[in-house]
Amino acid sequence: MESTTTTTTEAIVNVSHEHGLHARPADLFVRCASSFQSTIHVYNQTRNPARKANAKSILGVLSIGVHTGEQVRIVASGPDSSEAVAALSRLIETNFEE
Amino acid sequence: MRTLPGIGVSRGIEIGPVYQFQHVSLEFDTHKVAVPELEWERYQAAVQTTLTSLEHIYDKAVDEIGTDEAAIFRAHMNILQDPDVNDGVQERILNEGINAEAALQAVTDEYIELLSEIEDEYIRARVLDIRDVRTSLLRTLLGVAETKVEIREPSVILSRDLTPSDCLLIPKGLIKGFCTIDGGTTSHTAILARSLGVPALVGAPEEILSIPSGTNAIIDGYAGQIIVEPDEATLARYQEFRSAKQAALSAALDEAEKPAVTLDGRTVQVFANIGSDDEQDLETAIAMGAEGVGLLRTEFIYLDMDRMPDEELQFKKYSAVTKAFGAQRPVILRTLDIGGDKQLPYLELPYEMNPFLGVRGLRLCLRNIPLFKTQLRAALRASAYGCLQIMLPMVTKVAEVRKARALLEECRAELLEEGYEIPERVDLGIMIEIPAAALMAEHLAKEVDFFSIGTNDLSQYTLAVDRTNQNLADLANAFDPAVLTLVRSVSRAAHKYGKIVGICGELAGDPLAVPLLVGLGLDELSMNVPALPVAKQIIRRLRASEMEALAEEALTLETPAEVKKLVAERLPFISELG
Repeated sequence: MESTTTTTTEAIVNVSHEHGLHARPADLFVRCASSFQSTIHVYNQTRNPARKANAKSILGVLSIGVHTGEQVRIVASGPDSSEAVAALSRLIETNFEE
Repeated sequence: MRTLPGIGVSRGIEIGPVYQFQHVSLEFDTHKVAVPELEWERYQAAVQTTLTSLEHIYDKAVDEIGTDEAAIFRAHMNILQDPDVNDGVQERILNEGINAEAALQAVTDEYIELLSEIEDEYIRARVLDIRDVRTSLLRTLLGVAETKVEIREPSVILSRDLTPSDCLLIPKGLIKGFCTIDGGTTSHTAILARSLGVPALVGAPEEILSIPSGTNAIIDGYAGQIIVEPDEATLARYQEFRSAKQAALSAALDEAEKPAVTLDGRTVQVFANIGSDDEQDLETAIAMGAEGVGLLRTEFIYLDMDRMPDEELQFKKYSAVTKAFGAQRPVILRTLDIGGDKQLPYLELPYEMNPFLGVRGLRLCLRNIPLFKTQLRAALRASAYGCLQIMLPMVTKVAEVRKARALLEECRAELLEEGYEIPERVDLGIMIEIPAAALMAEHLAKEVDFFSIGTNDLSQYTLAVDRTNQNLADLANAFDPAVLTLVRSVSRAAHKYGKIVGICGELAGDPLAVPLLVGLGLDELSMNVPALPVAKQIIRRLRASEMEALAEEALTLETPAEVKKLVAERLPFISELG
């Protein structure tokens, strides 16, 4: 593996998909997160900013119960953290391309 | 006599005593462990053991009832490996020094509690998944997995619910049927029942739990009911109905190994879909009437591994299948069909927004030449041991076929150079599962030796319906006249160039579809093994010329339901066989 410096990147994004971060959107989110090497956590910024969930865990993502209209904070650390946060933010912002 | 309703999720009728399935007690206490690190290792080993047994169930389910219905076991495997759950358990074991059972219970309780607050169909299903997975894992941890159920004679199993591991506790020969309160059409109970060929009901009332073990009952998977302590007249009526069905089925089994020739003399080849190199499975397929393998799903080798299987291993597995089927029975090997909803842990595939429209099947192989060549070399070597043919999945255009053929020739030249003996001719065919390929079938027919229509994906792509989307389940139907119209044009294109056209989707094994497929001119039907005897029996009672007219008539209809109704009405004998 190439040696890269570990960086941390974060972003706050509005979730406007009608299902929030559940069902298919949650599934897509987890699959997208799992394609990156970085450690990625996601928080429900609106409801409970202290509880973190592993963005690569479907149960984790579901358990922070993100509804439509709420904000999530995505924090990634690792060699591809900025790409990961960009991809996940884009996924949410484009409303999971529906 | 009492008649209790349920939802029939597996067809058939059985008469026999009921058995109340008692869940094995999973009691444990919370205690400190001496060496938390060892406890964490014990937990990881239990996850691995449970995972292996789930994989086994998944493979079996894929073989016997199809990938879609087996998907639930994949979902369970995902939960078993969920990083958050496992991190949580690790933290509790190492930091609090408690036993694995208690740690697992605490962590999963937290999720169940959190998720139960959310009113949502999808979430409710996940909560059930978590409970099921936890039960399996606790059983492994507590070492009660081997507990024998006290069941002495073949019985109808009654229970609130049954998990995959519950089902494994009951010897298969002692299952006459299932009746549960929980569960849906895609529950394990339903899947297992269909694979065993026994009736099953879900959604039964609470009352079933108070029927004492040993009480006589009739379980009717057609009408969706269980009749407790039936009276003489009812019993007689059901016995008659059942023996008529059984006679039809055993007649079909007796004739299974004979060819399927229509009344007007057209032979239709009937092949099996296979995803295993298990000797017993292959023998069963032949005994059930398989005249060849119409679809060898090579993924079974890749999915079992934690790294890419090498040429030797693949050669060993492919040649086991070709040897078992011999020189007279073709084995159509489908090259790796991964991507879409199927992933390999060791092959890092990029994230795709629409994986079903992404890099899957042949597209993936043409981007991973070394992987593809390894498989082609193994296949060519195995072709020396029987009648092997190679089939490419997810073909869109002619250029892809030419590229694959060039690689195949390259492999052949290399192998000959290395001193291997390879038959002069190994047929190369393609799956038709993309509408573009169906529409351009005449071009493709010039390039290949045979077609095999994959109706599952062809339906999904033609109707623009994600097969895994539960909300659209009623739209995804291969009986749709739009799909059948494409099947007709593919069949015509193949015959115009003297090529063989088969079908290997789930449609091929559906008794109501068989007459239409004969009418549309299909030369070969490939289906799951349990469907073989009845399909052959149906073909023997058809007149191909009449089926051509019937298929034409079906294509003028508007809906899949109308198509099925037409066949059922014109050929009433099918319902007696099916």
